[in-house]
Amino acid sequence: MSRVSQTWAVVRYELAWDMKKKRTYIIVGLFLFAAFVYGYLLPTINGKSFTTEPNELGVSFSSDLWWVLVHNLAFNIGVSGVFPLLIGGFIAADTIASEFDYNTIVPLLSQPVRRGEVYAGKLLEKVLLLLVVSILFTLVVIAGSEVSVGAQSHLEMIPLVIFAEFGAFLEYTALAFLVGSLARSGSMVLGILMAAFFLILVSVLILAAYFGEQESMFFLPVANAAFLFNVIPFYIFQPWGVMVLQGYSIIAGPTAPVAVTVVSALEYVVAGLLADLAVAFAGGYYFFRRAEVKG
Amino acid sequence: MSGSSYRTSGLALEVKNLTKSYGPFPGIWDVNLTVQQGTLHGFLGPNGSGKTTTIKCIMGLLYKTSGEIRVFGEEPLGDAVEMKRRVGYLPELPSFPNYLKGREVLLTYGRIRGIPERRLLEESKALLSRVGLEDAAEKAAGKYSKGMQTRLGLAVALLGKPDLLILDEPTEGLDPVGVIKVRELLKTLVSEGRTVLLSSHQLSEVQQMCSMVTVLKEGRTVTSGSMEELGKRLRGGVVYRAEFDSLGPDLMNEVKKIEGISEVTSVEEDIIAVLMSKDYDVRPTLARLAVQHGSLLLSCEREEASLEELFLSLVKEGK
Repeated sequence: MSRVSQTWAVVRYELAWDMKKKRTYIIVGLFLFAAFVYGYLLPTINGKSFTTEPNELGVSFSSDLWWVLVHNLAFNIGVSGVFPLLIGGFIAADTIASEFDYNTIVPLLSQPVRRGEVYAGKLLEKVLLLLVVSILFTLVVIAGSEVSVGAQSHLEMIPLVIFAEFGAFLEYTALAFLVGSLARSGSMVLGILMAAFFLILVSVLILAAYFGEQESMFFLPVANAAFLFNVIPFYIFQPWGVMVLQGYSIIAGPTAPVAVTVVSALEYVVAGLLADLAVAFAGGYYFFRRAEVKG
Repeated sequence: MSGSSYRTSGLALEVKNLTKSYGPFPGIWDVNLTVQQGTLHGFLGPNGSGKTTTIKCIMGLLYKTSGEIRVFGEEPLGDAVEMKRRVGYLPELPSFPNYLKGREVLLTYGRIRGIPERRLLEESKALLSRVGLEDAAEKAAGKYSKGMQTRLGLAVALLGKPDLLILDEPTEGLDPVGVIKVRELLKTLVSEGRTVLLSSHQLSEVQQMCSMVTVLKEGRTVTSGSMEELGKRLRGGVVYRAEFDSLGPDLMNEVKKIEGISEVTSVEEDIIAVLMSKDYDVRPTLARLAVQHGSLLLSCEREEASLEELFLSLVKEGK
């Protein structure tokens, strides 16, 4: 039996498990409902929408610290960033850790299959599942925005938006694989992912308050997923090709907003994401490969 | 020894000086186990003696600290894929994905084993019937009783018709009818030419089922050989049931020090069972010790020790 068919058998094993779980449907169902509400309300709150150019909705920028921290960063990372945490984290938390939690890893690893194939099969299944969820999410958000503010433009950008959502979900999946292989406890995985999320959120807010908003922040793990999830679609529709970083900082005081190119911001986000994915998936595999089944 | 010479020697499994430690804590030391092809080999020892650790090392679920493992003459390398194709494993109290039905569990693991779909459908149906789960095939595995889970685990272990079956406590959690059925199934499998390593803490089960046995105690091999040899080795043991006027701790300690005693157990207040490894009349010594400690030996009957009692003394003393 070839490695490909062996890996595919693990994909089917994982998919059969996911498709049988009520939890999968509850998470995806709630998520799509939230996506509709998000798509419906977002254009009316701050003029951001996936398919509506922000300048058309009259986005205003300010050097006010409150605006920078709460309206801009806390919303972009804190509120929007919860989505990829919930969907990517919750769906993937079980993948490795629960196999050890419930000892189902024993019959699985007792079969003539390489651990690498088990890991790759589980990862591939999550990639496929999250790709479907990303497509559904984007379509539902656009539907919400259509209902809210009318017909959307730039629909040819949908593949890039889907890529952005998918990348954000995959960040948490990679972290769930890493922590799951290391801690081997489903509840611990969720706890650590949430802790990482809040820790990064607080760190970004403190850094932004002291040094001003920096494009290098987009490189930070978890923060890049939040930016990617929420801000990338916004950048895509920046008609002038730049994005504005707020200049205010406790050290420098109020300064003029800094314009950085969308490409530059994207480079930080994508580089950060790729680095995270590489480290987390490789680290996860390292620990999974060495994991002993003691219980 | 090369793979080919192992094949001609007819060994299904050979474990040499296997050691597994958890950091500074030792798990098993220098365990030796040799299983001939086509036999039902008992792997006997009390709970915590290291049977499951040994088995998990063989299956690659635990990484050995040192020692040698050979399955059908080949040393399992890496993920031991080739070895696992020839081995079916039933873990103690197996767990399967709760949401899958019994039939789906077999299909899922069968696909991972690489069994072609059409053959798998037939095989899984036959296996469910063989372990008596045909009526529960469409029920979620999570709703199975402990005994049903074990039987499902046995069916999974039999997928792909493996040459060697490693079964860890296969009758655990089964009702008496289930136990009889599993034992009959194992005998049938051996008559079909398969090799079975049966791990158990019950002497009676191993005695009834197996031709060969390896006994483990506190992580070490105590003895290994045919059941007949084990019986011969243990033969000659006798038990004295002694009743005293009063039995204090001092007298009890003195009794334990008598030469040739394997074990002393309290039966009732002032009554003890003294297991002797050889047929030595201990009654005069007991009477003398009783008097020395201000007591009296009221009665003392000599009996042949049961194999169960002798086995207990063996694993306790590590003779």
